[in-house]
Amino acid sequence: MARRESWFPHLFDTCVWLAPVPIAGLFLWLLGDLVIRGGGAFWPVDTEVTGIRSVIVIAEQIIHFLTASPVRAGRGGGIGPILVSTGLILTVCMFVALPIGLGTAILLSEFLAEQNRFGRLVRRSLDVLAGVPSIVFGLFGNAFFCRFLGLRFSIAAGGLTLACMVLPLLIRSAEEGFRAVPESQRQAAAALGFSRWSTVFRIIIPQASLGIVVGLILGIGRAVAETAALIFTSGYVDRMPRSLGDSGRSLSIHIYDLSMNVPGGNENAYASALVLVVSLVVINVSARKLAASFLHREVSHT
Amino acid sequence: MITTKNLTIRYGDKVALRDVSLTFEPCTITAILGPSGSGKTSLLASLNRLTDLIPSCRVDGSVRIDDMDVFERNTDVVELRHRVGMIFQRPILFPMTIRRNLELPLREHGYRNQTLLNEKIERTLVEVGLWDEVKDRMERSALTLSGGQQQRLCLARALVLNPEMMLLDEPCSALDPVSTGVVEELLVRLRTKCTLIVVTHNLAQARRISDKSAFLWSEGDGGKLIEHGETRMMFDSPREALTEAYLKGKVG
Repeated sequence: MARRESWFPHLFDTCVWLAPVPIAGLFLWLLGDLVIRGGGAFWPVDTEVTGIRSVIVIAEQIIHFLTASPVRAGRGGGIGPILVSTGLILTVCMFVALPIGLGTAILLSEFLAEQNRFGRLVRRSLDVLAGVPSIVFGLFGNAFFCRFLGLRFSIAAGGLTLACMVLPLLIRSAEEGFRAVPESQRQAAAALGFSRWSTVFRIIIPQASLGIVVGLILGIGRAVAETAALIFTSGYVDRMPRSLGDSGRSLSIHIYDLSMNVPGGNENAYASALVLVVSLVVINVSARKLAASFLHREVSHT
Repeated sequence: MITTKNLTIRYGDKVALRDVSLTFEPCTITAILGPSGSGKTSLLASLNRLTDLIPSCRVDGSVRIDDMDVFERNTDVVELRHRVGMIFQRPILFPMTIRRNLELPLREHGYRNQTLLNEKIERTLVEVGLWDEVKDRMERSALTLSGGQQQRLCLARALVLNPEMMLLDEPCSALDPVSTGVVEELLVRLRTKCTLIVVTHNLAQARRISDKSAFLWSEGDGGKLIEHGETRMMFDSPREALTEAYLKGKVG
């Protein structure tokens, strides 16, 4: 008995402390791989350039890559129009998903009792939807948004389809955030004569902002990674879109195209992937900062 | 003046309060006494319709405040809760600055003028005896205050709306004796402009501060009103044997 007790806790501790290492390691390896293989797109061609000049040249190359149009099917040039298309698709997605998502989360947690039949149905549906493969959403989006609603291959159709994919994650996460706020807060607000809606907007949402932001980041993460759904809805065109009705290629589709269909496109594929990963980090950080300054600003613990 | 008539409160199938009729005179402190489960908190919650928050709760009988029927469909619940304030057992402050905790209810009820708000806030904090203690830390979180200060801040937050009635559910049970004394002193001072109803487990406290008392007791099928009257009379010469047994500490 004594022998087991003396070494087991130590072994357990060690395993727990070591657990994050492979995960962090994986991320760093991924990032490193992208930088090494894709960095060539930013490296100055003229190898005589050294020192400060090389930094400036690299900066110029990066800006060029981010703004120029793809040339020779993407082997050269940049990803400018693709970034614009991706940004527009994401914007449409968020514009639609945020109000519907937050509204549903508020409905589920503040206005419906936990055992309510309708509420349970909604939750179960969302759980199922969260697991549906993206290609199914792609086909649905194609049939409904592109054909039935007549949007054809467009950024709008892509954004709307993505919104459908993002909603389950957003709603569940936001709802958890709302439920985490203690019931006593609602009682205190009610006793002070706050209306239901005031309680939600002035008391609950500021305290639930973390759950909302996490849901948003998860949702954006899933959206940005999307290829299958977007191929069927927003299309393949790599020109600069002139409106939401235009077809546009997203970053993930561009990466797919360059690596699978375009011989010699590998380097740019890696560079695009690097841009994608860096954007995700930036979105993550800014979403939290925005939440802190807008949603969370009411809340003060110190 | 608040009157309840044949008030019965059910949560689903379970009866929490059975057929209670009481009158609370203006500018008095009434203590609601009784052991756990005797329906004291339910009684309090029905007076400002906080029972609405519990979906399974059903209220029969009537509650009237002056000439207003509390449970009538048309009654403006927000207005009701402006007139009737409530303090809970544990201080429930919003995780915001002290100033914001006090401003929010005022803004919610339509007061916008910043000067007026600041005036009301200062006046109320002086009234509860907190002004000197917090005037230099109004922009710090209310959660940094001590337990006694937090409960007094809760009182200030309720008082800033100038309610006619205050419902207090064991307001001192989470406080140390010194803070308890401060709060009790404040309640006695408030009696001049407010009707106070205090649920308490602390018989000595009831004796100290209340004018009237009401004793509730449950046999397992809902709390019933056993006795009510002047506190001094009830404690010195209770009419019911059960009351005497409870007050002497023999039961409950």
